[in-house]
Amino acid sequence: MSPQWGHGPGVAERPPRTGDKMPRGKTPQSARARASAKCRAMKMHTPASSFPAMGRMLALAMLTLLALPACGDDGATDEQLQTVENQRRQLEQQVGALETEVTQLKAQLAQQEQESNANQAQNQALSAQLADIAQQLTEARALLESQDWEGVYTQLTAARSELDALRAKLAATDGSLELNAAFVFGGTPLTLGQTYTTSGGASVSFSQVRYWLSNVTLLKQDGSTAALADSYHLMEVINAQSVEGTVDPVTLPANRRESVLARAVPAGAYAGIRFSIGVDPTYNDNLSRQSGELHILQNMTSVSWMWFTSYIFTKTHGTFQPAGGAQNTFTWDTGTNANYRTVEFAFDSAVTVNSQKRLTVNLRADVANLLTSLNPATTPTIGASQGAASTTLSDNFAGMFSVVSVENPDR
Amino acid sequence: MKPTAPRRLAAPLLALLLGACGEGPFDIESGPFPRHLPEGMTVIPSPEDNPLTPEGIALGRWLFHSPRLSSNGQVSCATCHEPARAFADDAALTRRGVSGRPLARHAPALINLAWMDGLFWDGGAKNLESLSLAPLTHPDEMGNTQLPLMMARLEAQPEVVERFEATFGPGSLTLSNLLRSLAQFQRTLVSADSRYDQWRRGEPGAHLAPQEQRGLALVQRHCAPCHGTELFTDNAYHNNGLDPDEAFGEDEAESRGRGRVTQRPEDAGHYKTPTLRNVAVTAPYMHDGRFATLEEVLAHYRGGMVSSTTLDAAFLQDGQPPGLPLTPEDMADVLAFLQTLTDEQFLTEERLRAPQEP
Repeated sequence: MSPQWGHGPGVAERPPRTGDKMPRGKTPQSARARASAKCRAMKMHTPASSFPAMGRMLALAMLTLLALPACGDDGATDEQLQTVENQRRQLEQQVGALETEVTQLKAQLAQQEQESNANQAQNQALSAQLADIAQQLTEARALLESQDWEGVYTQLTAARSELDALRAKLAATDGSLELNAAFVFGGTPLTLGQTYTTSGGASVSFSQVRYWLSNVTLLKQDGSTAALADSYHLMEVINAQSVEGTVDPVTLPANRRESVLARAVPAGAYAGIRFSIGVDPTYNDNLSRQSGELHILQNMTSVSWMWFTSYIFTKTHGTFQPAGGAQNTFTWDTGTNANYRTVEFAFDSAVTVNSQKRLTVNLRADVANLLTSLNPATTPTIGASQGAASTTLSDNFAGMFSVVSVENPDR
Repeated sequence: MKPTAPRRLAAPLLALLLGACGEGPFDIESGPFPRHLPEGMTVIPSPEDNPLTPEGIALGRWLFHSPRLSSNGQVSCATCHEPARAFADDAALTRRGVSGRPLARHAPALINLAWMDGLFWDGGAKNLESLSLAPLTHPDEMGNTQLPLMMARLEAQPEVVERFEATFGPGSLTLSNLLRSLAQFQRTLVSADSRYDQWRRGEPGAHLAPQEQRGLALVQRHCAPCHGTELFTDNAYHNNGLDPDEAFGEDEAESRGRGRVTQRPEDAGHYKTPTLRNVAVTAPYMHDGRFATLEEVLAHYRGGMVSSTTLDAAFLQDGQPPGLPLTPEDMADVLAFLQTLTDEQFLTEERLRAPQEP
């Protein structure tokens, strides 16, 4: 916001008045013509139609009376006209600056509209308000043409005050959150099929890693929370795969999903973030319930699990070869309410979410952590019935995340 | 034995509950269905996000009886859950699924499911909305190992699309709505109009013979609390002495019973108590259908039980093998009473059978 126009008239922003003391001298033709035109306009002026404020109306009426005699001749000097021209330019610049601001906000609202499905009504109201301001500025330009400085000033003041209100609204308007959880193995990005060496000297490679990241919640400093709606996200790094039990060729395309873009995040200051791995009991206990990306037709249910009401929370499949041992494949799936896990991270400093700020939380999801206390050679299968191993693996999933950075720039 | 405080069931309440049943299959001429709920029940419970509606029930009924839901187009839910057998199957381990291979367990009767928390013999399914996924996907039952393919097949049939849209609105042919309408229909499989119920309600002309009343007393003394309440089941899981410990298996073995679901050793060999309602028409018996007749079942309880670490304590007898102290006369009385739990209305109710195709 430009400070000089923030809160009503000050000395610097006072509009030029025809009654101001004008030095004598020659006047450039254009300025002279405009001055004359202004005089004509003021002669015909009906104050009540342009100036709503009674005080201003009276003041202007007096000025008009004072100014009238000077209009009878072309007595205005060049200096006087130069001053008028300067002041006109100043006003024009200010109108221009506001127009630029309106254009920027329009673009921003349009982008928000495109990004967000949640706040259409809110966005439309803001857009309408912005259109009002644009109209005021158009009128200000017209008044500028007719040298109605007072009129321009009034329009500018009104437009500025509406823009202030709009900015305040935008600051209280829901923003968005980008949560990135990059799959890595140790220090390097995870690549399917690539062989990694574990801390114990074994070789491991992965054919797929998938999990439900759910119920993203931002934590406020006062202990209250803002839970995001429909927050069920299937994070995965998979090769193209046929849907299990395939008879006909139905395949899921290869995919690498490491990012959650949450829209309509309530505006506010936040101190941390919380999310879960798996599906909460409300949805996990009734497979006819759907929310966000959560859907029974996702490949995160399994025929072999259908006798048991639960989504599959995580899948970790690959091959493993202990140092000096034989290679084996491992198939680790977890599910059931007991294996629902929640993790929480505090931000180093509070962040602001609103429509004017971006919030990006960058995490690492270190798949190497999944092997903690679990040996794929001796536990090649984890499923609904490997209770203890499921517990360990679920803990490992919860423990694989670490914060890399939190970004909170202006839009 | 006298019936305790005979009361008319809240018929007007039921009429309210399913009052709109004049539409669809529930013809107002023949009155709302079910006419009665088990004594003490006032509503058919249903989840908030899947309330009973006449349209939902009608669609569920059609789906339940429709072979289109199976991968080969020949098997419906009713294939193994026959209305005339209280929605049970007469095979111990049925081969009526799409593969022709025998199932691991006996297809249970479907009676008063609305009051049941865990479905299947081990309670693995937590509600009727989630239950149907298992038979739909099982390769030996309805064979839809790929649910997206099943949905694509249904979407390609205009009649199916129309039925869903008439029920749930445009674009409503979804797996979720399929599961929900099936669940709605299954909740209407209410049996509470047997000779026992009529006598219990004190209806004119209803009576239980002295032997039947003796049998009821014996059931209340020896078979409750497992077969207690007006549902004649506690809907809980017990080991009733069918097999020794070594038969239960480990991990996900079907033979592990409830232990398969809870993963607790103490639940191995436990199975859900089936209701005694309509028991005379739901042979064979037990989770694997091993007993062909009620006489065999009673003989098992009287002297055929097998000990195991998880055997229900109710069967332990001082200085005797586990079982129930029943004399041959007792057994005859119990059998006589069990016959009074047959609900002819339930077995023949038109509105639970396959709807007439237009």
